Amino acid sequence: MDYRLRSIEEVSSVLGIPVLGVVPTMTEGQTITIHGQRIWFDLKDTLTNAYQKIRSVVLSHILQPKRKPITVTTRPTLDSKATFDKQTLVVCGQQVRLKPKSIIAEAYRTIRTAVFFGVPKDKAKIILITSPASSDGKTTCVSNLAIAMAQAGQKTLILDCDFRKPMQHNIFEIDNKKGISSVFAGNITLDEAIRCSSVEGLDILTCGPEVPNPSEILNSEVFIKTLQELSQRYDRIIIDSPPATPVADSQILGAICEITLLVVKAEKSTRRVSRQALDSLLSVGAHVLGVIINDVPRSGGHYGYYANFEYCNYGYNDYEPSEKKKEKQQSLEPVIENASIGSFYEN
Amino acid sequence: MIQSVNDSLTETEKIRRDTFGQRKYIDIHCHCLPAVDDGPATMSDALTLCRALADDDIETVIATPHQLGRFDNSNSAAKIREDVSKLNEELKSSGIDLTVMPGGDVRVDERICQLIETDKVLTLADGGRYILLELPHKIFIDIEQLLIDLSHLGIQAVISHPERHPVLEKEHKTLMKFIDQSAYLQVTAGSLLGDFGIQAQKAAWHFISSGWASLIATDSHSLKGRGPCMKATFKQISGKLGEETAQLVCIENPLRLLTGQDMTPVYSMSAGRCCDEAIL
Repeated sequence: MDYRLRSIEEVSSVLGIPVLGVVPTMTEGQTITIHGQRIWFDLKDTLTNAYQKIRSVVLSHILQPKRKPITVTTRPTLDSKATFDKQTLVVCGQQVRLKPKSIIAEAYRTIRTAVFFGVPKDKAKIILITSPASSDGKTTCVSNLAIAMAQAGQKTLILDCDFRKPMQHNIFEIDNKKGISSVFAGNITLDEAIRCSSVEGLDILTCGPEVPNPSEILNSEVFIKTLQELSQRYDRIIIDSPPATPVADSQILGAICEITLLVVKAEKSTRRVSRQALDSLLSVGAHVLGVIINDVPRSGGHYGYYANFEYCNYGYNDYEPSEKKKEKQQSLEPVIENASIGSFYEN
Repeated sequence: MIQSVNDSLTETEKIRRDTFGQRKYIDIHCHCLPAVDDGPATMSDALTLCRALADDDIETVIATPHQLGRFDNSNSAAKIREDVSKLNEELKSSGIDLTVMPGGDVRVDERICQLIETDKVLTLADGGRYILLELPHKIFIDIEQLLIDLSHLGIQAVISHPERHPVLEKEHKTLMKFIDQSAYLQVTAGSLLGDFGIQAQKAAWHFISSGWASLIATDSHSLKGRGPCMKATFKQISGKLGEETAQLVCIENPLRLLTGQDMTPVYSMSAGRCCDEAIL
């Protein structure tokens, strides 16, 4: 029996709330060149898969009669897996800024508009983004949605409240030495803790140094007061949080925030866990505006209904390939995208 | 009713009406500008498309390149106006009998009202009376508030091809709400002929026969796949719903939109024929 959520209709009928956005899988991967022949690795490729791809190229080369020594180039040059993951996270988390014409950026702009028209004006200042389980893609949703909002001229703040696995500072490539926890510790003022991002109109307030009791901080009077103060200054405050099921943090936040968006991962989130997450949020009085379905396969799969992400009916057909070609020509620079944010939670 | 439309026309429009007769169409949704969106890539492709439009008995076309969404920051109102005048010159020198007017196929966005006021987003035929709205394809957004805000600016929305939105097409109640908020629905000519599949075709005929949709447009992008087919559509509608309805949705209402007048609702014409099952 398959308990996973398989289509947009299933998601909205099981959860009983509207679907606000469908974000397709980020397809890019990494190339390596073996003796002039480029091999493309999707980030979903397993090690065995990748090994077989390399093997076939190497074998065909070895079988040539006058062979030269094998040369291997990787692009971009990466020192270690850690750098790779880091760069991937930056590219994925800032997709809306880096690739404004991609269908992923378009998906986030649609979510922005859906949020705007989903709630009466000024009633959606503080937005919580959470998900049923870890590695559903909250972090990239937060950063990309925030970029999309800032690009529409809304003064936006990203507030990283995932004290257990803070990630936003990695996406925007800033340090996490000072943040909201240092404000609560009384070390610095709020103004000192807020930092500008590479996007105009978008500020970031990171977690700051680790704290022993995240739930207690979120549940405090000081936190609510801080949020109120921030909401005076910004049009939108988007909060990144831990997943809804294992810990109570997002329930606490859900009760405070004006609206909550639930991120589920296509073909991974299960009905039971998603429903549980939603119920736990509703039980504390959270206003769950809708669901964002993340990482939807672009073709095939059970999401066939949405499979056609190339906007076939829409005539984007002719536009997309030429853009892709262009991308491919220049693609020798950053070719890593599509973070498996999952790995950060799983370890 | 058509008599009353003709009475309200200005002298030049009447002359034009007489010269061209009844069967000259106006296309209010068409991607015919070169190299601005997913329409023709070059000027010569654009001219080929325009020639096909003229051959399809279309005399005036509102060029509606995509605005906002993926084309945010790229297709500004000023650029579209400039491109339209360039295309008109080219049409003249190539002897193609077609007039192009500026417009935009505007992706729904929270900034639309503000962008109209700052002249970044175009209304249809640059008349400041109607705006063509494109709703997201897979997600349903209730744009009632936007329609209200637009009406404060004296602008009415024309929602493009609801029959081709798998989500919107089923939301009949919401569509009624949009129509109550003075929005008009535009059906794509090709949908009625089945170019976009049976589901879109059924929905398109339903919208036309029930009187919800007020306009037909080609939404042409290029000759392969989505060429203009106004003549064929007119024939189909007159065959199934009577010539009066066809005249209204293909000729009179587009003309009223072009000249900034109120459009005529269709339901009064085809009220007696509202049995969609029988139509398809």
